[in-house]
Amino acid sequence: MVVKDSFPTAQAQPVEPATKSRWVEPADGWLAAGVFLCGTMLLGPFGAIPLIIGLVKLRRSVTAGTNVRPWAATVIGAFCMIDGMINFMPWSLDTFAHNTVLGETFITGYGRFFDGAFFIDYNQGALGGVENHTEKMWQFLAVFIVMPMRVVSAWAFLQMKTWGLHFMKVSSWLYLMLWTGYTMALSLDFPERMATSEFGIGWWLFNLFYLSPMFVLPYLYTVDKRQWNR
Amino acid sequence: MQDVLLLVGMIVADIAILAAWWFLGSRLVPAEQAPASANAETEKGVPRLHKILTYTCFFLLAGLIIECVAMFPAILVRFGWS
Repeated sequence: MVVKDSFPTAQAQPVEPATKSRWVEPADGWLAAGVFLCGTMLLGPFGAIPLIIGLVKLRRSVTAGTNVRPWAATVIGAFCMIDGMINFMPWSLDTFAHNTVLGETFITGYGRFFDGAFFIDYNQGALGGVENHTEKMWQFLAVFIVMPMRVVSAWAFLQMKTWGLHFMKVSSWLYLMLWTGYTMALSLDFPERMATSEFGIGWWLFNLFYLSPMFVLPYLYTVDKRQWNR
Repeated sequence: MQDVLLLVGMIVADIAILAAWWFLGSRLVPAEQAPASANAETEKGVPRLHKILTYTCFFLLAGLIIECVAMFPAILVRFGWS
C-alpha cells in the first residue's frame, strides 16, 4: 500500500539556504551612512567622513582584487544616490517643513546664494514654501516620483539587484525629462531667479551636476547585465 | 508664404525628433535580445567608454560631496538663522 500523503522524511526537508551577506561589499555600510548624511545637506559635514572612508575601502578591495562589484558601478551608483538624496531631502524640506526654522534657514539661504525663487515671497503661496508656481510643480514631481525612485534604485543598483539596474534606467529617463523642463523653467525665469541671487553662475552649476542621466545612461545600456543577479 | 515656411519647418523638426528617438530606441536593445553582430559592434569601445564615464562621475561625485559639506555652514555664516 502506498500512502500518498505521508509525512515528509528528513531528506525531504528544505535545506536551509546559506546566510547571505547583508551587503555586496563589506564597506557598503560606510557608503550608505555617508550618502544619507551628506544627502540631508544639513548634516553634510558629518557625512563626508564615512563616505570617504567607504570609498577608500572599496577602492582598496578593487586594487586587491577582492571586490564583487565593479569600481565603475560603485562610482556611478554612489554619484546617483547622493545626487538623488540632495534633491529629495531639501525639496521635501520645502514641501513639508517650510515653516520650521531649519527649513526656512536652509531653503532661503540656498535661494539667496543661487536661486531667487527659493527666497522671494517665501511662504507666501497657497502651499507654503517656494511661491514660484513652476518651481512648485517640479518640486512635487521630484519629491513624490523622480528623486525617491532615484535613491532606491541607486541603492538597489549598488546591491547588484536585477530591479536596481532596471529602475536606474527608468529613473534616468525620468530625470532627463525633469532636467529638460527644469532648465527651461530656470532659463525663462532667469531675471527673477538666477539674476537675483548672489552668484550669477548658478545656472551653470545647476546644469553641470544635473546632467547625470547623460553620463549614466550610456553606462547602464552597455554594462554586462548578468552581474545584476541578486 | 511665411506660414508655409514655418509649418514645413515644424514638420521637419518633428521628423528629426522622431528619427532621433527611433535611432536611440533601436540602439538600446536589451543584451540578450540583440543580434550577435550588433553586440560585437557595440562592445568594441565599451571599456574605454566606461573608463571615461567613471572619471566623469567621480569628478561630479567629488563636487557633490564638497557641496554637501559646504552648503549649510556657508548659509549660516553668510545669512545666519532665519
